[in-house]
Amino acid sequence: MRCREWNRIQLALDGEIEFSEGLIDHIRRCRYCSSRLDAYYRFLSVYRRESENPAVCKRKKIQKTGNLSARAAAAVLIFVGTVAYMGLGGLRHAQEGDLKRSYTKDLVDSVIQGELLDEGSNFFPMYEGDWFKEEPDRF
Amino acid sequence: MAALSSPEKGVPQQKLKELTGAYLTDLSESCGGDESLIRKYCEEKDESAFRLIVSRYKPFIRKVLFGVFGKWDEEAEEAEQEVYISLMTSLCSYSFHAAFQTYLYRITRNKGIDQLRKRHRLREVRYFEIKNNEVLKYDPVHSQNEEREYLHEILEKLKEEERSLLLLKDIEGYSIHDISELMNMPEGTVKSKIHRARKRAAKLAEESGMTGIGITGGVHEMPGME
Repeated sequence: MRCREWNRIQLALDGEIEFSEGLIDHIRRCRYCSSRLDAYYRFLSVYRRESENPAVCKRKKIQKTGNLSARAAAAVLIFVGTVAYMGLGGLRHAQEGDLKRSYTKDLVDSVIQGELLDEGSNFFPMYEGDWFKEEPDRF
Repeated sequence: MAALSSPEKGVPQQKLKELTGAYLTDLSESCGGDESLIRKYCEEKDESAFRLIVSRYKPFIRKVLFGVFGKWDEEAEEAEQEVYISLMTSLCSYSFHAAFQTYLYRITRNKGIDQLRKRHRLREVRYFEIKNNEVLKYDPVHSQNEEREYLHEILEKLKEEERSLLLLKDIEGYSIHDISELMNMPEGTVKSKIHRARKRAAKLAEESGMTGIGITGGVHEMPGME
């Protein structure tokens, strides 16, 4: 709840009127005015103290929006690049793996089906077709 | 414009002594006034004269910047450096028409405002914390650090002009006439702006819970209540 007398106190602070006995009595009795005036003088005393001997404040700043979006764009690009690089490398790796598996499978199939034996020395350079030829019965 | 330091108008020499520190004024009295020091610096390129001017007005510059920023941080320090640089480069163009203190006040405040505008342009959001781990002195209600936080909050909500006006009028005790010269605005405008600034500051201080003196105990200490 506001007090009409506050304006008179303001005028007294401005130096327009004097702090009369009546006004001082009012300040003592009125909770609104005393609380506000008390707070104001407290504020002034701290302001005075700090202006004479200020504590140094450290700042933390958040980058401005422009910088932030530029940073975000750069981060996204780096992320995409990394993913793409890794993805391509992974694909190559997978393709190589598939090829190897397919080759091994073919090789194993060939061995099982005996194709390898038929094709003989043409398939592997180290293959010695003669090794598999049936030796004549010595007995 | 009439010089502020003239006996008829403006800031009396005693006030200047209080503001800039008695030891510096004593030093300056033995070394010459502002005008002779400025001439010495500009005409004889005497750097010691410049150093003396800076040391004489350093507390004044810092107080003005504290009023502009509402706190002392890196920006305020940057602005202080800007003031010294500006002073170094433009001091020789000072015409002696206005009091040196008026000239210096305007340079300082303008540099501070430039810095504030730069911050606004950058749209930076800043958070503040106290850097120095000073020994806390607790009073019955609030610690100094708490009070400082309240103060920063309040000063942050006030406009730069309001902070500067309250500093000049209610803390430094300048007259309305002096303030109107320093801030280059009509006396009526100064009065109404101070009135509004006080109203806002008192409201904000009360809302922030900045109380504790106890009006009945402290009533006799209030300025203007003799």
